[in-house]
Amino acid sequence: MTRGKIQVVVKDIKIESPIVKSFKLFPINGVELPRFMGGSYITTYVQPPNKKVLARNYSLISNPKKTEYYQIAIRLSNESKGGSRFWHNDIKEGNCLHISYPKNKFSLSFEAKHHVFFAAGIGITPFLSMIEDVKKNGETFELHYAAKSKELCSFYQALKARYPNEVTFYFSENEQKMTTALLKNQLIGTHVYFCGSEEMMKQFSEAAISFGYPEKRIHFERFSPPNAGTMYPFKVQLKKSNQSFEVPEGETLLEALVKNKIDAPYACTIGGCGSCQIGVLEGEVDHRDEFLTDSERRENSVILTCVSRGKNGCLTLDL
Amino acid sequence: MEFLTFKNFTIHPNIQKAFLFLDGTQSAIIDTLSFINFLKQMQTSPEIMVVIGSDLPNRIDFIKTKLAESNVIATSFSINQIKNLLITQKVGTYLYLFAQWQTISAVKQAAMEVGFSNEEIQCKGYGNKEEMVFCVKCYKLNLKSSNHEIICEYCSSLLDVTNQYSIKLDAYLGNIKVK
Repeated sequence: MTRGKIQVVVKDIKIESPIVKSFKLFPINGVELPRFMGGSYITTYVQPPNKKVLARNYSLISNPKKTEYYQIAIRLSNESKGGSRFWHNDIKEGNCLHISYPKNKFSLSFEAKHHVFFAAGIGITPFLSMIEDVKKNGETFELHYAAKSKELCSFYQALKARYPNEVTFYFSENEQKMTTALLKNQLIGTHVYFCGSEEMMKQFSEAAISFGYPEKRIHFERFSPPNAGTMYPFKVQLKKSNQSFEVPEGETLLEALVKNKIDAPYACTIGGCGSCQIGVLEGEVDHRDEFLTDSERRENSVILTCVSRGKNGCLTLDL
Repeated sequence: MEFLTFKNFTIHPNIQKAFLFLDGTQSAIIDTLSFINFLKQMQTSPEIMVVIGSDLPNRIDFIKTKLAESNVIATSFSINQIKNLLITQKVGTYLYLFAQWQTISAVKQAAMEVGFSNEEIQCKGYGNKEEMVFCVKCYKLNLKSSNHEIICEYCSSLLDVTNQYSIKLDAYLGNIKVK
């Protein structure tokens, strides 16, 4: 086994919708996979022929109690940089690959008396395993799930059959809208969870705040980095290794470090987990993450390389 | 998001409802009326509900007169009655307690059982506050003293009183003292 990774074989590929496929991943040596909590994700490592390894994060949709296999669901992205396209077009049953151990930054609240999930499109995926945990804990939930149509609504039949009283679907083709009004009048003890487009999550988070929700009752999971503006170029100096290079326009600092064969840590790549945090010795940071606190940002002593950038020219890193 | 402050309270800028509980003592009445006045001057003032845990009719009538247009409920202090009121509240409701510390402890516990989080409960206590120590062996609460060690009065374990404090239990952690 590659250190820190699990080798798995792909089985049971299923077409969930015209643009979504699910894949079951079984361990090569037949041992039990590590348990996980609902809302977890794994990083998959696939290598198209003559290309570099593509690391992509996908939510686990399988039952957290089941350790014989993991299951993921992948939407074929219009903006695919190769990952989802390779999974959809090239990965076949019997193919082997490496995956990471499960990670989680979108877990159920232990304090919640009632969970309300809001999913849009492929944003349904983390909720599938979270619902299993809610049921196991004997707690209650509602799921509000928006998609363009029933045909494009992945897992529609399974959800409708299994949770007829808890799930409400909204199909925009039928002019059904999942609105923020659903956040109002929830009983005390309710926690709300959002997963969907950047716009949807921003709209719902802001609405929850406007209805008086304390921030700790609001949870959301990004599948892509927040849109924080132009990815302008800047220079980087590495103090320990005495290297310097430019981070070009459109590229992240993390991508530039990897390209220059620097052994930099990372996990989620969307500014949410803090794994890629590096010390900053000189220069001003343009923070674009959702991990650091306001006072940590003001200190200007660290940077999350996967999304943040250097302001005004040059950054010197403790690397 | 910018929170408002009133004395030691921080107020969510979009608070929908302020649920005020007071034990009917003179200090509690004064502080409650002052706080209500502040809430009414907010740009968007929340709905205000006042629950008085007292069996003194004069006190109750006085408060009702002062708060003619607010929702005032008088109840003899019974945790179950309080709980029945709290469990129907919606997210956006924030709880403010004005009472003797012992009463605050009981009402806070009831509020957390029905789903209020620590961020949604704020307290103004009166009198001496008894601090408690949680016994890791029998899970009971003991009175804290000025000593670093105490003997659990339930299981007789010798406990080392740490400075680790549980908001949920409102108590300090008492580890088994290793001799």
